[in-house]
Amino acid sequence: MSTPGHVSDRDLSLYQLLRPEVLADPYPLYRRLRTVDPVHWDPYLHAWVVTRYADVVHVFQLFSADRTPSPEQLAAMGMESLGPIAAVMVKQMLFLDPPAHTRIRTLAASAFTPRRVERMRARIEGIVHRLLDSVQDRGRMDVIADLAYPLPAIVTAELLGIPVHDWPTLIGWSADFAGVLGNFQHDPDRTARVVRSLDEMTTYFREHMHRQVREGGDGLVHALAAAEVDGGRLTEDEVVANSIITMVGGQETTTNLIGNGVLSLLRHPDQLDRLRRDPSLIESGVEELLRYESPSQQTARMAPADVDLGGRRIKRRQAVIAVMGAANRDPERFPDPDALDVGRQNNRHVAFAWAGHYCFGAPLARLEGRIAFAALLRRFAELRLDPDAELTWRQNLGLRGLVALPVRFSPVR
Amino acid sequence: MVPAAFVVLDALPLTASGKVDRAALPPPNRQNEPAAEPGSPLEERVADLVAELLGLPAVGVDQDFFLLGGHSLLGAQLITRLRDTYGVELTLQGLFDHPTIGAIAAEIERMVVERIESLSDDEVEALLA
Repeated sequence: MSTPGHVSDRDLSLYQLLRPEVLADPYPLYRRLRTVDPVHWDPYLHAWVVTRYADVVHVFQLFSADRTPSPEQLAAMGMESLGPIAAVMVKQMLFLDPPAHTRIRTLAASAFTPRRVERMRARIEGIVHRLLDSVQDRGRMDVIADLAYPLPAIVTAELLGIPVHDWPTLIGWSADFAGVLGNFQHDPDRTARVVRSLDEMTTYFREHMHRQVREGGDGLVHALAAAEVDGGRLTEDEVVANSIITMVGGQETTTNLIGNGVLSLLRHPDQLDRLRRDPSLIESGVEELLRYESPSQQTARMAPADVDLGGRRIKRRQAVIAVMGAANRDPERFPDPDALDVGRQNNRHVAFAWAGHYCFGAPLARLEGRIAFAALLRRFAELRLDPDAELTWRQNLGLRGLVALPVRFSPVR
Repeated sequence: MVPAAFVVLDALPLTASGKVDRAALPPPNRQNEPAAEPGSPLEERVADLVAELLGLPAVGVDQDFFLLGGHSLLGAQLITRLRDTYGVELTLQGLFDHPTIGAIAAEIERMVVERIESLSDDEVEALLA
């Protein structure tokens, strides 16, 4: 299908994200899509790509999340090797529609109510300060390795009720699984590693589920295993699959919120200063950092029926990619969208998605972000990018984050 | 203004007011156009591989892997098979940049030549021994 303005389908394809320079700054590509063809059939992806704020919200409200091919469907395509991964994914709430979605989500979300999350504040502050203590005399740190990875990994382990000292292992597992979640490209070399690591995670969570059921506990794994919903219990496979997605969801995105957020502030020193001088801006500041470099840039849905969207006819069961990273820069919704403004008001971004699949971990992610940014700004003066640093974005097209973020600073005594 | 493609329809889609609904017109399916046949043996092998993967009777040298129905998972399979057959490491971005049968074959040839040229005389002799 030709598009107006002499921009080819090839130029508009999300496959362009495979180019490192596009991945480093995807916003010109998003802007092109939004202005030239906001509901775009990407013939290379075989999917619709939706980039306007209003359309993305519409897709979240009405479209189906049930989108993962079953092991049987994969086998029919000659991809049996992916079967074990799909077998877990089809049970995860991320990929379910009501009513199956509702019962699992209600259970998991109960661990993340604002009240329960608020009770973790002191604990999170303690972890952040301990992590900053260990680097402050060096005058330099890698924000990713020294803060953004360990903080959510430790918090998630506590929340799930698994041993906190296992956090380095959880990081490795989450990264492997996130490689599958965030990418539409498929790396055959990665498959074997992911299948192996999924096997390890499954064994691990199954053992902890049995232990928590035996010994009791207030972790989420136990809550999922013990709860009765509509007179029935979750199966062991469901408990394990959803413990895994909670672990991955709790880590990958929070890591990217902290990493991307610090980078955005370093790139806008005036906003960094403003936030440092006025700590009351921390809440609106975190929302703005979520909008500006969204940790999760896109997610997929399926059309529940033939649907008209933006003047296009989307056929039943066609795939739709909702690009939150583009919607969050839509000038129709956000005035001056490419400017970072830590005091921005009316900032209802879609970084956590919207409607039924709105991230139930959002209150926790926000709290971790507020505490981490505030502590970093309060304790470390003259925060700046390490001049020797070369920024590399992780090869994950959906989950946007840096490989490393080396910075220098002067500790405030 | 000569049309670049024609699509034959049973009936034109209409809007509620009875006008032609342009938005509902299907995209031209370029894969139904007559395809140039593969020339070199390498192009033939690649064409056979792609046809087999996509479940098509035959594909032409100018046809695009993605527009024929190839998605990223099938692309990964194609890349694996090309690696097993020719020992070259095409990436998904490489496939996106060189998506036709002819361009894939040219890429393979380029990479094979590059590898041979990078070998030392001893390595070449070892291979030929």
